[in-house]
Amino acid sequence: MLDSFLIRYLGMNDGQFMTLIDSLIPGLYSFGYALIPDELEAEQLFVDAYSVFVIRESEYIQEVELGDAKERAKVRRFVQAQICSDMVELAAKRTSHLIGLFRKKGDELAFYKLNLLQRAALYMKENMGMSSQALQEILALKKHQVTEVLYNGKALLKELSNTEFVNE
Amino acid sequence: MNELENQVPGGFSAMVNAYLDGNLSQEKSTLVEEIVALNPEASKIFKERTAQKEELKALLPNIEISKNSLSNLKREVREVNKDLVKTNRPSIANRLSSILNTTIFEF
Repeated sequence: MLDSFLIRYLGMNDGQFMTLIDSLIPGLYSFGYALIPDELEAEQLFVDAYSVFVIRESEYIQEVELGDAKERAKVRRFVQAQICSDMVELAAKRTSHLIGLFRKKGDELAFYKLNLLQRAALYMKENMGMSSQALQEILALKKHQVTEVLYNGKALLKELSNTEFVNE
Repeated sequence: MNELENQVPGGFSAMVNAYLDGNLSQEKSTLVEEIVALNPEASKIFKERTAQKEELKALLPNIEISKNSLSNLKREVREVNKDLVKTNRPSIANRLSSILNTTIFEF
């Protein structure tokens, strides 16, 4: 059950925790768009993942210390990783219903020809600057699997970007 | 080239990759910078890897959130918080029953 501490964290519009969440929104929205190329779907993906995170991690949110900059950075990394993980999981369930979006936009960008895991891993590594260790945790993969996903994703992306249909 | 690769444990190329990914300690980052500054071969490898990384990044989507979407999401997040707090706040009846169940006086 959410207790008064959590209510205090979540209820305050200008609370430290909400400031942290607000600062994560632009990056996580862009990540959502990398998973599902549609503005509304990307928004919904973030909101749903945030809800899942708050329900699952209510105890963590109650106990979290946002005192100094080092702690804030640590919490920020944890929250970002958790929400990213939920976004990938939710996107995997929705992708099959949204094939039309990929047909429409996939022809414009080689990136959307990659599979979900490759898109997620490449985006988090290159655009969000996450380490391989973080990718292992977020994607629930072993070290060699992360290396494989990144390697194959990069190779396929380069190959697809050189093919005619992308450059048309 | 081999001499350069052997100069650093794990190989210089791998270290440059880690440097560009921001995964090196301050000490190791400084080492990479020093080698690149002093060794033309290292400088060449560094430039090549940087260019490859930039090329790859250019192929990734990097959509910026619109002001409208940002304010929508900030509002939605607060709505989610409100709903969660509401659904988890005990009802008046529950609070009353918990007060009535509390032993106030012991004889």
